[in-house]
Amino acid sequence: MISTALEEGLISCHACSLVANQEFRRCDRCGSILHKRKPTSLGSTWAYLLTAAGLYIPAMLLPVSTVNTLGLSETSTLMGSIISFAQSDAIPVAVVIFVASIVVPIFKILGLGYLLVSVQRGSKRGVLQRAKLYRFIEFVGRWSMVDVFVVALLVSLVQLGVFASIEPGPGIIAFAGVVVLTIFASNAFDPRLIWDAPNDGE
Amino acid sequence: METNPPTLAALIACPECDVLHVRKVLKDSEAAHCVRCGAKLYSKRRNDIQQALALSLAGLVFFVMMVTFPFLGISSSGAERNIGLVKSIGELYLTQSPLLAILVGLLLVVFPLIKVLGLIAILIPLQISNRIPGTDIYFKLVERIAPWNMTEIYLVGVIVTFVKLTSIADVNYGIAFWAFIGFVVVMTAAMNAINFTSLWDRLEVGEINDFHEK
Ligand SMILES: [Zn+2]
Ligand SMILES: [Zn+2]
Repeated sequence: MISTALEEGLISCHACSLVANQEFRRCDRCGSILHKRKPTSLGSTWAYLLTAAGLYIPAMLLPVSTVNTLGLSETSTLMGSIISFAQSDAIPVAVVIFVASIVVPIFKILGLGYLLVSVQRGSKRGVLQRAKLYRFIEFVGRWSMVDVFVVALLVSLVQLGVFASIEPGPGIIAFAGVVVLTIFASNAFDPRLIWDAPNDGE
Repeated sequence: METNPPTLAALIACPECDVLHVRKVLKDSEAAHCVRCGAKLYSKRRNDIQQALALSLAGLVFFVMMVTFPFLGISSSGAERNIGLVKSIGELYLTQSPLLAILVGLLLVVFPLIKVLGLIAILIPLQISNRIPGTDIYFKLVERIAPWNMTEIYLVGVIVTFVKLTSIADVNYGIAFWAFIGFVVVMTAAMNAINFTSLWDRLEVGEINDFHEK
């Protein structure tokens, strides 16, 4: 028979994993304030997640960079830069950027939204699958930052004056915001809530 | 304030699903996993602290090289340009986009520096003795910035940038680029060598070892 710390009247320190009685306010070993679950986990995760989802629209629509070549300037959006990679036969790179910038953020936003809704409805179905989904979301989320690094690098490398220059556009700032907010969102979520649904011996 | 009864020190709750486990004495290179969700709970590895410390010190050397030497060079129709990591972020801040520069600076310079110095600050006291006040601050700092480890992602970004630029200019790697790869490799190995729960347990060596001896 397995039981959780919560059921046994215990609390596990989020920082150092020392188990204490629930009447303790601070961890004996590391001094951290003890919480049964991350405080305001659901509310904070929703707030970060919805802001990220809202910011994803300007991230897709606004230009991520402007290339100035000999008096000509050309702006491109995230999708536009993926298409231009694909057209210049750099298919693997196009795939990497597509997955990192389009697939991963959307998957992460929808996945965390699903976890939040299922926890709030007290769902008992597919608990282990949902725990694995959360682990996967935490793992892949960071990879979205690739395109932000590409733009930052291009901007600082291509400053050859006469030849060309590249300026960052507002789209990349918005996109960086999306990535940062989704990381905040997955950190705010407490995976133990997935398992907390009342278990009636099923 | 009363202290926890020693039996509590023998328990560990899964960080991901809260199931309680009684700690077991592990053999070398063994790890304990949660019976319900499979999350890693704690592990044992001989010489983990020496290994992680050596790797972190190598990481510090790589970090210094990373921020001092040129990172990438680009040349096109006679014009040449070398950039260093810190200088390029500084220029980005001054000329183009302060927000982007702050973000990149935090992810590629500030957090990696905190990570390598923090690890060294944790591991040296543990190597010498088990109780040094203040170690827990570095522990918490290093764990706090863990989700923001983006160094290997940056390497993918560098490769993408290369592909994008090869048609219009010659690009070459500087010493700092290789140092950056070295940094990613040794820091990944250092983090793999240690387990934070097990390191915490060593800080309170008294209680928990007493239990194991029984
Ligand atoms: Zn603690
Ligand atoms: Zn578990």
